[in-house]
Amino acid sequence: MRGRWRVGLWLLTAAAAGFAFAPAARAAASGEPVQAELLADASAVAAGQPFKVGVLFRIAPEWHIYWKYPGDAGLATEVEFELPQGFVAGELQWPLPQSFVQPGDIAGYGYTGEVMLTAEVTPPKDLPAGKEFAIRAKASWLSCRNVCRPGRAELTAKLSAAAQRAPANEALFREWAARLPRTDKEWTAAGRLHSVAATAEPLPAGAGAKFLIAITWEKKPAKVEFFPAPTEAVLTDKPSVNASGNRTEIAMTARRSGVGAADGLECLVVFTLPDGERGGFPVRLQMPAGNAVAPPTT
Amino acid sequence: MRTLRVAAAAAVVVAALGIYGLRAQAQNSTDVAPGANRNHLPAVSGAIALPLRPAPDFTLTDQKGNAVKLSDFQGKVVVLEWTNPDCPFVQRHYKAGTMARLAKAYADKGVVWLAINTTYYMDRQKDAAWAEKQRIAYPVLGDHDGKVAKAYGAKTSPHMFVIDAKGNIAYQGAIDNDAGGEKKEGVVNYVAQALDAVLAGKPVAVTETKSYGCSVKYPPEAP
Repeated sequence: MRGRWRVGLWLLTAAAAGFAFAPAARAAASGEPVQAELLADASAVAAGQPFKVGVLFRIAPEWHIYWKYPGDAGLATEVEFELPQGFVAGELQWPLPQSFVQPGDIAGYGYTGEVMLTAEVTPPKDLPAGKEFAIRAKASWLSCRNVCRPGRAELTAKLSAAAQRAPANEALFREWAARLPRTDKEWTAAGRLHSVAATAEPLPAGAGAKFLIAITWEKKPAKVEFFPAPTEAVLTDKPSVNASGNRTEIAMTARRSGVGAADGLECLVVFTLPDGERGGFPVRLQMPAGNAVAPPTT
Repeated sequence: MRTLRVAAAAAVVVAALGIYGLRAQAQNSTDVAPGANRNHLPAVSGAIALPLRPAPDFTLTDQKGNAVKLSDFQGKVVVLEWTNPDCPFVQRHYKAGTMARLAKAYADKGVVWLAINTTYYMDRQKDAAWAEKQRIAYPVLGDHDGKVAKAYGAKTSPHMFVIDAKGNIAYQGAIDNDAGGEKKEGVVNYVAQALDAVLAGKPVAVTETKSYGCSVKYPPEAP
């Protein structure tokens, strides 16, 4: 489950290099709620110098797609990059999600409007200038409003190698980079966060724990959101977020499902300041050791 | 034999709770997650059985207009399947025959299968039309005000509940481990796994998973 996103390696043979260039956004037929397009932050890349690729999702009004952990319902969006031989992709980067609570208190985590999921790609050091190559991405998603519709696209972007990098789509990549989580240390250095500390009260026989995350802010946020991103090995109950002055306390119970190994639990804290600035940082919780499985609860 | 097993299980729980008490004490002064206490943990093989939650009783009307009461099936194993004809996850499983095949296979072993449709904008006519179109042999119960869904904490369609012969929830969660419907191998059907264990009088290994699918369509005014 942790590997919901996958970065595949695609061996680009001489024959495959010659396939026709398909305009990226055309994958989704008209009338589809989501259009996906594969973009790069360079039209020409230099040997050994990292560049970024991203799948830009354009989501019709009222519809949403899902974050890497979809919440109570839905399905995580998936992007799998296929790269020429010798190219290496980093982890897929997920911008800060939004939370939408549907009737029945069903929390969904995801995106509306637009979102770009990006990854850094490092080309080989011996990439000859003038060589043309293609990056491919397989994207799949579930889009929902009152009803849900699954969608998928196979996308292609054609690039070339040059002695010097030729940038492209700079503003767009800058915009989405600004919406990525940063570390708590970075937010402390930026004067937003004072401290964050997590404590855990174990459930019987190591079935899980009630976690308490205490945050002190340098700048008091107007809103704090909490997004757990458990693997299939962990079940999380609805978190509570309580603010008091410059402090926020988040409480959440996480239980072992009995499927797979439950060691850690990744979560994301997202704050919105009164001036509209929105930032986030990951918090990794350590599940207690043990192998008891909690009984089903509501 | 059964009594002995229950007593043994209870002893394990008591022992575990005792250890938990000690561990909780040890944790009090710690400012980190409890992984640090790894060395203090009891050596246990296999999952420890903790008490189960009783299944909330309900009376709902099926697609033919018959009242169906859960507690009438006491002594039998019951499967609840939250469903929604409009949901692509449900449609995928009906196309694949997942539910019909399971329901039929376990009906022979005395298991009762009940589908529940909470979708607020649907009604009994819609449930009946869908049951006929899909040739559903089991009751499709209308819960269009969402009260039963709320009592169970149903979040998605499908969302599965296996209720043992004593009326306790022995399993709840996903139908299987293939949310995307793309697995070529290694698909585990959690409901079949739980039913096999319950029918054999064995503890269920996986009692809860995260269900996947469309959100249950509660009425817009639902809390």
